[in-house]
Amino acid sequence: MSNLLSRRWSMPRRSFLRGVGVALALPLLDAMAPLAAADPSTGKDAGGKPRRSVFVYIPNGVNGMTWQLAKDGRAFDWSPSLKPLEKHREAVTVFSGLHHPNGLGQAHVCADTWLTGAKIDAQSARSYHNTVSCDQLMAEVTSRYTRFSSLELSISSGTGQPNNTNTLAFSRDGVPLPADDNPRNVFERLFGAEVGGIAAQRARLNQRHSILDEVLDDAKSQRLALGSQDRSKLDEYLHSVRDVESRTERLDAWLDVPKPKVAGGPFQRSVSKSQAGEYYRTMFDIIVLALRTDMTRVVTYMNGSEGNGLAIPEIGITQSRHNLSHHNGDPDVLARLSKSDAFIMQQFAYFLDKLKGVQEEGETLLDRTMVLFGSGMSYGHSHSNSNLPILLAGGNALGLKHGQHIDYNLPTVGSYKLDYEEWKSLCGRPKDDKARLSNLILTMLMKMGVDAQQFVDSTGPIQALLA
Amino acid sequence: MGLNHLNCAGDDHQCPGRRCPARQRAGRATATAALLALALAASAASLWGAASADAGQEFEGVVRPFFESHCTACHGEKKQKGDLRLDTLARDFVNAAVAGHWMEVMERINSGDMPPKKEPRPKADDIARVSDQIAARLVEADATRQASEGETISYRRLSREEYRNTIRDLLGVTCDANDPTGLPEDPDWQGFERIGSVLTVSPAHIEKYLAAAETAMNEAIALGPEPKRSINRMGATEFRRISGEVHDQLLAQGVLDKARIDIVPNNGANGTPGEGNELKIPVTGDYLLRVKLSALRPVGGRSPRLLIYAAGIDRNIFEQDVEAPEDRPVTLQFRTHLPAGAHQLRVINAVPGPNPEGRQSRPLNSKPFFQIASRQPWQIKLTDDEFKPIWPTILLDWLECEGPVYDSWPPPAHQRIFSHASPAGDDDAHARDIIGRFASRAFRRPAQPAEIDRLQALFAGERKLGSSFETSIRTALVAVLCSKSFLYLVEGTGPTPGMLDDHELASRLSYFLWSTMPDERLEDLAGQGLLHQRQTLCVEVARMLKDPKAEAFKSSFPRQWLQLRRVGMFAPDRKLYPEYDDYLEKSMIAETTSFFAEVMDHDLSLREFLDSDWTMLNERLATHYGIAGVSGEAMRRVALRPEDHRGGLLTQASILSLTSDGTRHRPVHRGKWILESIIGKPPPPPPANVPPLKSSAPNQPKLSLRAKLEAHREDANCAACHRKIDPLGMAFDNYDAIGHWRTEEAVRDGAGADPKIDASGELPDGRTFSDASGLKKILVADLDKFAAAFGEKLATYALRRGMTFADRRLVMGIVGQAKAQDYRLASLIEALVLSDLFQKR
Repeated sequence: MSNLLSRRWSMPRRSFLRGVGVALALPLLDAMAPLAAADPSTGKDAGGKPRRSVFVYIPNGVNGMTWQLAKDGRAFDWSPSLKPLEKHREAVTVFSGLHHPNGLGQAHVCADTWLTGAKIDAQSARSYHNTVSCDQLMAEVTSRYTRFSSLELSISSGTGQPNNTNTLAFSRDGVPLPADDNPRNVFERLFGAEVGGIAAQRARLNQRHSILDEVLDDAKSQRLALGSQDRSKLDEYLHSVRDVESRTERLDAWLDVPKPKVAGGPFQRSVSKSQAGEYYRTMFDIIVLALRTDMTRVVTYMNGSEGNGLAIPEIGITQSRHNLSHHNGDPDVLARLSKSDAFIMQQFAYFLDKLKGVQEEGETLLDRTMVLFGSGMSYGHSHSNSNLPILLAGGNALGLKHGQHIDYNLPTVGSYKLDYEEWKSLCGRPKDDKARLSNLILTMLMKMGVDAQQFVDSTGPIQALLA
Repeated sequence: MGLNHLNCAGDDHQCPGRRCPARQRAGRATATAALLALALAASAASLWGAASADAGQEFEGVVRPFFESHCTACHGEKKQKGDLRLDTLARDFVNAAVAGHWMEVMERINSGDMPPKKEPRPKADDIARVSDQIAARLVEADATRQASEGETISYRRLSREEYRNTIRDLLGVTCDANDPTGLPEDPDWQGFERIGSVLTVSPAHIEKYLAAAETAMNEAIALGPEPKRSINRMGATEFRRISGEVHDQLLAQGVLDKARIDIVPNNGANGTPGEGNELKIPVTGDYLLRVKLSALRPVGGRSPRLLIYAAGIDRNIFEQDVEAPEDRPVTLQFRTHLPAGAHQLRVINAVPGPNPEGRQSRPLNSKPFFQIASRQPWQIKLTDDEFKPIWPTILLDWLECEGPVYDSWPPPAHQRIFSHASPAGDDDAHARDIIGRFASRAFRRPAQPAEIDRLQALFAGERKLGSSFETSIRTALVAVLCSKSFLYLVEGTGPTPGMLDDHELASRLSYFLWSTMPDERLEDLAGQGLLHQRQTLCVEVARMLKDPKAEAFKSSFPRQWLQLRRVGMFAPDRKLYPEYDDYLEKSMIAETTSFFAEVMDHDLSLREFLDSDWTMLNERLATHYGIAGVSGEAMRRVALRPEDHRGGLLTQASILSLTSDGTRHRPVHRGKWILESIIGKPPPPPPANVPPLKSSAPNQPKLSLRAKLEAHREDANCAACHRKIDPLGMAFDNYDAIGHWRTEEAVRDGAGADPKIDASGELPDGRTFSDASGLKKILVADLDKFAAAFGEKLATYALRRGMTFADRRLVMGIVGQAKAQDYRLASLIEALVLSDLFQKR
């Protein structure tokens, strides 16, 4: 099963280890091997049932005064913005005080590094050294069981720009993986019928595979002539071609497994982004559908990007989220930001409702799906990113304990006044240097079965979450 | 440190320093450059900054004393607080970890964090100088990395636009690369979308390239008989789904095919049905679309604007203002490339304003219009009592689609690929010949035997499976189009290290001036080894600039240099700027690109970019500027008067608006843009967590944004950088977020009258100005420095990487030569192509 012995694989393993902040056991590459050994039809790992993760991002921070929970522990009252989550209390943990140490002072790249934790020099074009995002590490483990290794969704399609990303997912080379913003396209990609039938599709895949083989040989022959040890563009190209070749092999292996029949009705019309609520709910619906049919087990979704957060005309908010976040202390604008926050939380509660509504063998989809929700900024007006708004939902059957508010600020500040000055001061520099978002990410990685002891600058999993 | 030795293959131990012959050669060639450099260095506190002759020494001279006075007591030999030691901090900025430390140092001293509050404060000027030095070093290191000094062979990916153009010239096929299903958008660096180190390739790119190659090959090669060319006409009644009784009555009266429909502004907005129909396209290819229509234009109002939009591929297929009067309809025809499938076409009247569909005087669908019972008295009318139209309305007769259209059959590409006669019965030799010729064209250099072997094996494999000769060839050619040698511009394979060979030079030249592959003439010259000769290059540049393909340069370069992709990025608030629409945005961008083209085509000087007595306008933009006498859609040259408050690039609406956040202008961002794009000296980044501006209390008088930004002056730390940035932006306060001229600023918070605009300012070197035109005059006086900055931008675009210190010296030489021609744009381009810089890696 180890494809290290496969003669196709002549790339030095070192190429995959550089720049990775994770101490992973080798071999890393099993997940990219042809599916000869895994049995696609069972879709289950040894010892049972699927484990899934979803990452949902909102841009520009929130209005902390109406978001912050005043009490920690289990006996907290819901703040106005988080109240929509009330019925999911036992499946949600709210965090206060988390940050990415590498992200401090690097305002706009907060979305780029939300799932990678990398330190990026926001000013230079030094080929933008980002590192692998945690969802891709998870996908390596789960992809052998699913037709699609991961799904990237976003408010805008494509990858966006360095420092202004449209996607949360980054490959091991630190290359952004493009996202899709159109539910109909996603539906077609996941569930669309093979054009011309299976035999024709197989012939197409074989042809494609031969082409990629030739292209790969051509590039590799050139690489032997290069003496350079540094990362080069050729490596990036090589890895990408090899990756597509693996996908082609995977698609071929899955050809004989029939795709589930799903009613596409709700996804056939195009939903306009000017109907923000409906658009968000449709995107959440497609995530539920993809998970439910086990098309994938890892999903990232940028509900908004730093430069593009929808206005919500249906509740009277005509400004984009970016403009709302530059409130300048104006109480009117802050009120609108709160309203926008609460609206988004309502849509998120809808998502949790839907996940909870799917039964699988005595558990719900929500029980086996961890959902990380939050932003890379906290006080958006001056781009501060300590005390990030973060919460984790679901995954109770994976050994997570919920129903609590884990607060890293209170030991230092004592209690919350929930006023403007306090909010600003909480978000500038972290109160607890050890309160790292990577610890939460590490906890999720471990629950997904990734063999990891560390993620970037993590100090260890969050014990309070573990059952 | 920081000095890159040109053409040097030796290592540091052998470096002869100043006695290096390569360096001496470079030195001679840039004699004028050195003079210019000295002149610039003399004005150290100027706007433009000092271009150092010896960067390393100056760095030490500024930074070392500062560290010794303020830092090394806690971060030096005796103590290392926070594990940081500054007296021995490495100067190797190319090393990522070291660069990170320096950035932290710069951030801490800029924000006032360090030295700690209880220590004596350093002078703000000193902080600024140290910060500048560090920033300059970081920029230099950046460029060094981009120049890939460490790589034997460099690979720089074609941009999306260049890929599309190359497919067009290689195969004659239009690639819908801009569709949502097409290639991902290219990331940019300071506006440039073609920087080699920034353009990445992900697995998704490879999949898209594969799909695009297959689609393009399918169109280019005839694998079957010529698809039937058909005409499909759709009458107006099909766009409004007139059906049932009304349809039958119209048919009975014999007027069904003569009926027109009225299309009011913004039809289809806010959930109203709009006008649309399905168009079935059998085969991907080029199609001719024709529309017969006329217009109702209100007196004193504007023409309606036809917009045809295909929802499935999310593309505006065609748009144009409609001028034809009701009794003399016009037939518009255009050619467009459409993928196979069923397309939902929508016909839209794209003028701004409310959508009156819900209540306008339109007959019900249950009763035809010539029955009085179809009228409702409460509906809003289409015309007034004198039968004059109330709003701009399109009257649509029909829309038809003809195609697929082929210029020849088999298509030209097919003929070219399969042109040579096949040696009797020898499939393999024929295939080898075809593949070799195509690969050589696609790779932009002769294909090597080993490469052809591999491709031929692919052909043979396919043939063995029973595919036809053409199909098997097609498979091999798809592989060519996915090859690294096609997708990337490869440099460094030539015999002379550090220099381009002729084929690489041909590619660099054609992607610079044409954004596409070299044509046959360039390839021939390269094949004969003549291209690097000065005389040949001279002739070729002149030829290429006259070729229609140079249009790509004239629109792409200004777009990237001036960061025009940011126009409309933060959409102007609908309530504050109701007149802003798509057409205005397009016209704003067109002003800037056609302005650039005009300067090139008429051999004008760079001076025009800073200030001019003319600009390029169409009716829409002229209305926006309040300039009368311009009508029609096309851009044309218009003379300006002082009271128009325009002239040059800096007061063009596109540039004034691209820095706004959608609600207001942002003077600091405008200042930063000028420093980046005009002066070529980007400011260092701001420190984190800058406190917000205070708004006025409701009972205090209204304060202009300028008054609120005064806070930057009060804090010495802020002032150090902001006195260089703010005045440049505030000079343009008379222009609002979408480029309108005004004399008062609309302020929401506070009481009293709106404050008057004060656009005066003082530059760091003491020169003052009272408004934007005063600033423009100062910039014109510094024309030499603008030319140097512009030269650097041009070189960045041409070489696809940032400029190092050594490169900059060469750029100065080039600019010095252009000075003799009064900085005419064309002469600058020629000087660049003929320079040493253009021929080295």
